[in-house]
Amino acid sequence: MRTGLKNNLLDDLWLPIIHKFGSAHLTPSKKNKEMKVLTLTSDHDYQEIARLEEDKLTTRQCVTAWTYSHFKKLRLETEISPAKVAGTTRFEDSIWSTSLSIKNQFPFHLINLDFSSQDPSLEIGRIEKEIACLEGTLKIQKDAGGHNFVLTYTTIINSSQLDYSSVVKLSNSLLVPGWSGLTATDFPPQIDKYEDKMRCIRETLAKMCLKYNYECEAEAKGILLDDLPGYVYSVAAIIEERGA
Amino acid sequence: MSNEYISDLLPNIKAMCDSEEKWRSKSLQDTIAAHKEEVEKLLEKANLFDIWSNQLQDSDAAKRLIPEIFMDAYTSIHFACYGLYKYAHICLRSQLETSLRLIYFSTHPVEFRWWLVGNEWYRTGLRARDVWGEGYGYFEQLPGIKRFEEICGEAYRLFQNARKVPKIYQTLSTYVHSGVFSFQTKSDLFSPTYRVEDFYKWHGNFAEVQSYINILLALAFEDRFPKMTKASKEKIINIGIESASHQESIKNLSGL
Repeated sequence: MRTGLKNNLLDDLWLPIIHKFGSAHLTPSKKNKEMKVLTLTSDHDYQEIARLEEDKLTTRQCVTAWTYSHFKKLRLETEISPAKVAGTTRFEDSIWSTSLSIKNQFPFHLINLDFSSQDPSLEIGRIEKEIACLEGTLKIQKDAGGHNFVLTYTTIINSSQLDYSSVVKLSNSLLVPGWSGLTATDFPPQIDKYEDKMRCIRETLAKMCLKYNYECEAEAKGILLDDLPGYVYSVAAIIEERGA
Repeated sequence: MSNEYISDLLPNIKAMCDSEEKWRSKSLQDTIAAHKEEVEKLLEKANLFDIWSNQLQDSDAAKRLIPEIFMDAYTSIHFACYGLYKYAHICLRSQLETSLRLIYFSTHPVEFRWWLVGNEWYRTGLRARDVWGEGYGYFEQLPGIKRFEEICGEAYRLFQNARKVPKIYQTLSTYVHSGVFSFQTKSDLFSPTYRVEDFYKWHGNFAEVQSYINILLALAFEDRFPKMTKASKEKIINIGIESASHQESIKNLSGL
């Protein structure tokens, strides 16, 4: 994602939500909130780490960055040390792996799943895979005892159809006792309009949160791209365990 | 390195840093000025290991060895851009050897665990130079490689007839064992310097090694390669594999 777009999201969406979460859930007396952060980022535009530090929300030691590229990992490790840098694989492919390298670092206070920073190939099925990855992330976070946290999801929405039927099929293949599953009729099987895709993402995230016994307070923003038809769309959510 | 930092150093280290800064920047500038498109393409080839890394992430051997394979490719480019052609070639030998080990270890987890802790009993037990045994017989027996050798013209075979892999391995080994033609220094030139003929010699060897590694991985992981996205497969074939004949054979075998 380009620097300007990311700054825009940081200012208007991510940081206000993160501050709100910090005030509600992290020790108010502490000067630095030291949030444990997982961020999907790139070797050039990793300003979210600096911004979180400037705002006293975290320190480098508490950050794990994930990037899809050996070359980017090489550069990021040099630039953001002592933060940890993981990856060289696609996070959405790795989340289901039994050997996910960062599994034992969960739970995080902030999970920034910015897929637009990972050189997405914009192939058919990309967003569906990312939505499944949201669920995988919620599941790991839950299993690791994550009660309250911030989840931001950012993607590129282009003209490709969103196959809602495959989103439903993937999610419902993961059974959770007492959860009846996503309803196939909530959206058309193939979603064409940008606005409908955005609504689908937001509502599906909220339902997935319910599935894992979380409540989700989300805000979202779409920014029109200037170099290809479509949007960068970002949802930022405070996720809290129900009844906690 | 800042001048202030250098001025604080002891005399020999200061001389080394001063001198390195000069020859490195000159070699890098001369190389990039003359070959920017070529170096860019080689970096694209190195970046193909991102695709392999993603595809083979459930293999313990791949997880440990692919970063090293990438780093050998990257460091080879790095050394060559600084006029350090001998060391650029040594990286390529290491890269090829590690890739062959990856293929062997991917189906030999017990041996991989031995190797990880430095247990190299095969050197005496098997009387073999490397984990896969003597020569390249192990690779010739792999079904994917067998089929590839069958459909490939004799002049393009990797292990039989043309012996592409053993030949490049042998060429690169002369740099490891310091054959006189692979010396870094020349009788008339001591400092690492951009030299067009040495650049092209290394460039050809680099492209050839990446090509064979991509072919061998596609064949050895014949259950994984076809499952890659179309865009990933096309990148591996079009960017990673050099000869049109090899590209066609891989397309043929993977149903592209």
